[in-house]
Amino acid sequence: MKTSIALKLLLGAGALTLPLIASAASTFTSGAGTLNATATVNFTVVIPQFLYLRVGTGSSYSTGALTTVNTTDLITFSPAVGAVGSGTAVAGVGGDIPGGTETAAIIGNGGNVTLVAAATGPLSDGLGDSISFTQITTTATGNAEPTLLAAPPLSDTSSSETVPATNKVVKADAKWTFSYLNTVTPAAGTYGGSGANNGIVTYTATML
Amino acid sequence: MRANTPSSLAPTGMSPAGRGLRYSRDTLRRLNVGAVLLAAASSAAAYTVNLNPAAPQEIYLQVGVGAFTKNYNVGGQPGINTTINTVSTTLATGVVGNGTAQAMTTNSTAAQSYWDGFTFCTVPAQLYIGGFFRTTGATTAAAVVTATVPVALTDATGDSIPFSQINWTSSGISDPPTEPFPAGTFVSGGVQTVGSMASNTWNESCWTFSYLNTQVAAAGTYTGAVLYTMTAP
Repeated sequence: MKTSIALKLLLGAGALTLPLIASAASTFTSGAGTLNATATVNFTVVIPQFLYLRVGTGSSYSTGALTTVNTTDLITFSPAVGAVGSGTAVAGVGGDIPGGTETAAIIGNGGNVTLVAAATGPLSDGLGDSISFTQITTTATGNAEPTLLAAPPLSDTSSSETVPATNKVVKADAKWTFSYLNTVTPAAGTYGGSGANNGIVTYTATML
Repeated sequence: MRANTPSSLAPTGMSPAGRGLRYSRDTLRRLNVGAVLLAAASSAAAYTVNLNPAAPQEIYLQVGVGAFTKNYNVGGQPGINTTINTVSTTLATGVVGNGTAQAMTTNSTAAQSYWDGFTFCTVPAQLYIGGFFRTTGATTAAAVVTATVPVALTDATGDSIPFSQINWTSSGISDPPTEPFPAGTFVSGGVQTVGSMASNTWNESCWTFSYLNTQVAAAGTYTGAVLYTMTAP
């Protein structure tokens, strides 16, 4: 009988103290009636900060892992004889999408992004003749993401735009189609095509 | 008068169900408890051990590490372990939001079952969940285990990831495919049932969590706590 009384006292004390256990990996409760036992688990997800920019050939940004692709695409405009300076725009050739069109995308998770398009000068033929980058336009049309990535207009120096983030996340893309306006009549020649002739436009994304 | 009486948790009349694929464990358990074993219960598609009723009525829930004086099948008694284990994952830079589920690991070291000491879970890949519900004699309705889930995991700057981005599979070494604590996906901001156990049974599973990774989340360290509650009628 004494054993029974001691057991009841012990159980009573347990019933009083156990509800104070707010968090644990294991608990037990004893006694008559409804019983509750609780356990808590913490969950942690660590998301690294990253910024992805693609203009032209690049890794997929919809599946798989984002990777760096060191490819520079070439867009070429070749006005026909008799049409030089006619004011009729000339479509380009090349790009990762046919017809002088490039895939453009920015994915980032650290806030707004500034996108800069920079040239080192007007397109040159190496002989002193030049064509301004303002003769090349960029038209953005929808691609896979709901947010359209507008293109910064090309110039002989640089131009920029801000891509706003939503909840610190930027996810925007487009198809950028380049066209040659053909409103001037330059000297015959091949302009640009290499860094030496100012033929490279460098796009730089910066997370603010 | 002084007399030595068996522990209230003495392993009399215990038998496992769902043993078909757990030969090695059952063999081990037979060695441990010897003559106290009775015939196996009819097979069930889960690892469930039948317990003899005993006083007092008692429930024990363990998620992660636990506490027992020794294994239940040799008279061990349950305890409280105030540790809170963590299930976590750190994503690589190039895979954030790409839709490929990311495995989560735990800092729990609970690989062995307190039922019989069998190495049941694989750590750190899996989180042990188990326990028992024992009555003094009556067969009652099942005890239910629920998860109280916050709306989201949050970081220090107020960003959030829905808890529904985390799911889990369920298994156990030598277990049949069906588990007492089956696979599931968290319901953000809800209370969901994650398992149940009949009266006078021991039940256990090993959970393998994944982060679904279907959205690009802001950079940060996101945390959230899930409260598991076992309620016996």
